[in-house]
Amino acid sequence: MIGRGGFLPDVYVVARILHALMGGPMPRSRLAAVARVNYRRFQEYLQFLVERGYVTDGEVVFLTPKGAEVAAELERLLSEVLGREDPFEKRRM
Amino acid sequence: MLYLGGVVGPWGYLAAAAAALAALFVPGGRRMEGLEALEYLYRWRRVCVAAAPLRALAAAAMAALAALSVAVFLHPPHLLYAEVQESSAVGNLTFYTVSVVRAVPGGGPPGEGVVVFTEGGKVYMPFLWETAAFLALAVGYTAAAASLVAFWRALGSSAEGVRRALEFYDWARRLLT
Repeated sequence: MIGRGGFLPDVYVVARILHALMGGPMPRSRLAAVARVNYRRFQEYLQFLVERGYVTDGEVVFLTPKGAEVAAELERLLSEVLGREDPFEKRRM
Repeated sequence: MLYLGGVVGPWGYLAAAAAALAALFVPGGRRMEGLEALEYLYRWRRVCVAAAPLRALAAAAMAALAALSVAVFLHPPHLLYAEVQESSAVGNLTFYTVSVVRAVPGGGPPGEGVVVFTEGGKVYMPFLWETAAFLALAVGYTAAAASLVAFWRALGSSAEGVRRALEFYDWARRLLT
């Protein structure tokens, strides 16, 4: 999963970003906070997601239909792995 | 150490035993959300390999601490310090606080454990290497046992969790490429 310029995105960061965007468009700065990476690193993630057509970039970041599909699939995978309906519910591991 | 300091009596040992057992059996651990939990386990996957031996070590340390505490409650340590003369005490002694003085007679027949020397409101007693060694062992053991339990609780029962975290990582990576 190597992006432009050898950028190697972290699956968990991508999952966090896509999941956050499932709740609606978000400003870049807020999304960067959700992603829990520094802003420079976040821009690389954003570039990665834009290149793949998962999001549209701007002052506010939108999830594209393709991105929504991927996000839904990620949640499904997560539910399957964790063996429960809502993967983002609080739980103890 | 608290006993030597005169802060706790023999019942303190029972409390220590209860605390050790509670550390073993009271549920605890890191509380996380699903994705966060998987990410945590993925990042610490190599360390998590140590969860099982850590659990055994922590259990053994706490069990030993509990057993030792009960044994000490049943047979309190007899702390005997030899009395020294004022002339020989000066210059070759270690300063102890008054709280130590209170502890010295504990556990022994009256008058057998004796505080050795006081001067100018300060209390002195001979520096016994046994005392120093005991204190070092007690502090080291307590710190080691507490660290083991804390580390084990942080990792939790993670073998299955790590497996799932790796599984999710592989699936998600394939999906995103």
